[in-house]
Amino acid sequence: MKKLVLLIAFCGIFIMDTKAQTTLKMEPVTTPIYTLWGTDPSTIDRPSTPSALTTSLLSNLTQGGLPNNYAMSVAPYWLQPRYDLSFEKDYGKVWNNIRETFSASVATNHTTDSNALSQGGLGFKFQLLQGKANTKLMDSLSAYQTKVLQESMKAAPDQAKITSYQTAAKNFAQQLAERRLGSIVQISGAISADFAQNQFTNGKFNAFGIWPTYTFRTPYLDFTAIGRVIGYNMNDKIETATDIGGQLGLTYERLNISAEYVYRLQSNLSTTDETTNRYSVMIEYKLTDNAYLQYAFGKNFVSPFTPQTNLITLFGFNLGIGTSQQLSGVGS
Amino acid sequence: MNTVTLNETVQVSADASQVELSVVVGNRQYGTILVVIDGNVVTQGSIITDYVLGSASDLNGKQVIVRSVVNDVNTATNMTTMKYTFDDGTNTKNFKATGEVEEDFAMIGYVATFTISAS
Repeated sequence: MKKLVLLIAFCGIFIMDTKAQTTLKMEPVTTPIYTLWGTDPSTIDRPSTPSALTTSLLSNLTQGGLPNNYAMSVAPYWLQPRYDLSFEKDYGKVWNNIRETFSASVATNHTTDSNALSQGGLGFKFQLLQGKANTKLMDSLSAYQTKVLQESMKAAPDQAKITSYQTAAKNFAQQLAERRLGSIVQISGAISADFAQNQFTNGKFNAFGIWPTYTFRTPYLDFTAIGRVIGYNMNDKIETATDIGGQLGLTYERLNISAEYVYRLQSNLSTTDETTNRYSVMIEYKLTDNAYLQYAFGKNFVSPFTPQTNLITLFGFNLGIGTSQQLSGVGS
Repeated sequence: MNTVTLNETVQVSADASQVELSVVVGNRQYGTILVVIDGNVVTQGSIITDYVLGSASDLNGKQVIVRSVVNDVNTATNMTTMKYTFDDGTNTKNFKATGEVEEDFAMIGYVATFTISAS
């Protein structure tokens, strides 16, 4: 328990210390830990660059134990300004990709089966290849930015025109940020532990995994392939499950639709089902920058840990909390 | 749209034959920069590298206005940064500014006014 208090205190100090450089974002956190627990509607994580500091809502904090279903991620490289890092500088170098996309995460979960365990986990992910920026979008964005500047410099600027140019520029900026094209290779890893009766001293290593994800991205479609080995603690002996699968995703403006299939070899884990599979469809609509509407449906793996539940069904609404902007100009 | 303003005096060597300006939009964000002297746009681009503004004697007392707009294209952060560098061949002076966009992918403006003083 003391260690948990120290961890939370550390996080608090960390947030305060970095407040001058970045703002804590409240939005759904994607972390490889959820893959170990099987709690995400999708088991194949589409590549994304996490925000510098992100947390899910804190509404489920509990007294005297692990917070309930809480997640937080940090991308340390972006906690301070990078004045010399222009959009295209040293673009595509593997080391830059790693340090710019690396994120670490923590998460907690309470199982809903008869075991009613508290779980805690640590995760990380980074990208070796980030894909390439769409140069047509860069040209379009530049054109509208120039229009804004030229209109602003007129003796009597037309505010309606400026607003319209800004809206167009924002649309191009969103596509440029979210749709890097070509090959994207992401490495993810996680480790988790169970805490019976919410006692830290009862903590017991539960599972670990590290896996690559390859995505080929076009302006609207993602083709993703994954190979993954997860080690589970089965009565103090490590047993593995091997996953092979793929996902097809469509992105159009604020709408994401994806379908995935994963085949699992688990002869070491289960005496009844040597192989199992999982398939699901997920629809996500981004209502605002911080609010998402999600629907998922499908069949989960037949798991030796939770054999009674293999239906994936979710209809969710995630709402974040607004942030205030920071502005400063400094001469040196 | 949020706008960051910067007003600075830049001391340059009086005998400098040329004063150069570089401007970088940092944090892997994307922007467009216009450099204005005497009401005329003298150069523009997404990055300005070692642009020759003129000699110290020509620039003395003049204002160099750098107008920029930046869109958030980095999903890791909504912070944007600008770095302005003046080089007179002997000394280099850096000026930095930061600003956060109102929402993801939105635009922010920077207006930096530099008064050149040759001495």
